[in-house]
Amino acid sequence: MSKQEDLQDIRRQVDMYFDQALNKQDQDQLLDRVNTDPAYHRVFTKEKSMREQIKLNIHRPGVSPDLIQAIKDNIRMT
Amino acid sequence: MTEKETRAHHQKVFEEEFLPHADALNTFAYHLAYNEQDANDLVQETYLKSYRFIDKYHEGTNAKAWLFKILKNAYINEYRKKSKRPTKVDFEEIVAYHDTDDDRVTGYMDLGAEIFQYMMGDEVTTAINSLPLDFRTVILLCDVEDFTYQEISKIIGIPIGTVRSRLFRARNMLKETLKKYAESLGFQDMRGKGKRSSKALRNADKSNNP
Repeated sequence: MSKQEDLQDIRRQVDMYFDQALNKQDQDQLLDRVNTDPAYHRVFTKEKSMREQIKLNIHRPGVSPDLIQAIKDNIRMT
Repeated sequence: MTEKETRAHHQKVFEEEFLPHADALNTFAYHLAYNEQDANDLVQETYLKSYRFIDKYHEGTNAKAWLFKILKNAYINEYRKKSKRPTKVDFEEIVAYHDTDDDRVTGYMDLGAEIFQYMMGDEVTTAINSLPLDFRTVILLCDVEDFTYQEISKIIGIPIGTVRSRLFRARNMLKETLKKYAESLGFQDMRGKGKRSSKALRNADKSNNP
């Protein structure tokens, strides 16, 4: 595998890890490599940061108590 | 069970298993519809439908995924009704036509973690909202709501391989957009371009142009 293909493969594994798509054995194997291989560590840290930023910064309008009450009232009338 | 007991039971399931997901549903609806009023309407419609078809729901199973599927369908129906572009190219059909299971078509987009220091927070929301619907949906379902590939496949009604490839493309598009925002705010990606860091270059620029 070329260096570029290696990097693509690492990124694919890291994506699957964060997407909860790896089994336990593969997760543990990936985390071992993250702790021992700088290339894995770099990719893992960047992707972790990206995912955290998305969750932290996405706008969440929240649901008002009035909306919840309206929903409950609609259900009672059904 | 009498009719009264059944009704009481349904209301219990509704309040204990469905209502706790209201905030998550509203966030999803907001990023589909782009405004709070439409999002609220979608959420109300979703809950009304979920109650009407509560007999189809298996208690203790994945209420969140079920509700998201109802909301997604409600939005699509509303979106198609309101579409005023019957003669224009339907981007979503093009996305679907070119969807493959092969995520090696283009490389991964690399984004440095330091890029986020240039952003105020709104950029992430704006960047996600700028994605075409199909890409935006998978990002919202996976990266915001933590649904698995299998759950997303059921919510949207596409194969798991297509979920993966769509996520791959969506994340690359998102990273490209965020990088452009950061660059417009002064970020320079100096990785691999020399020993001087981007910070050093900015400081040099300031001293040359007080």
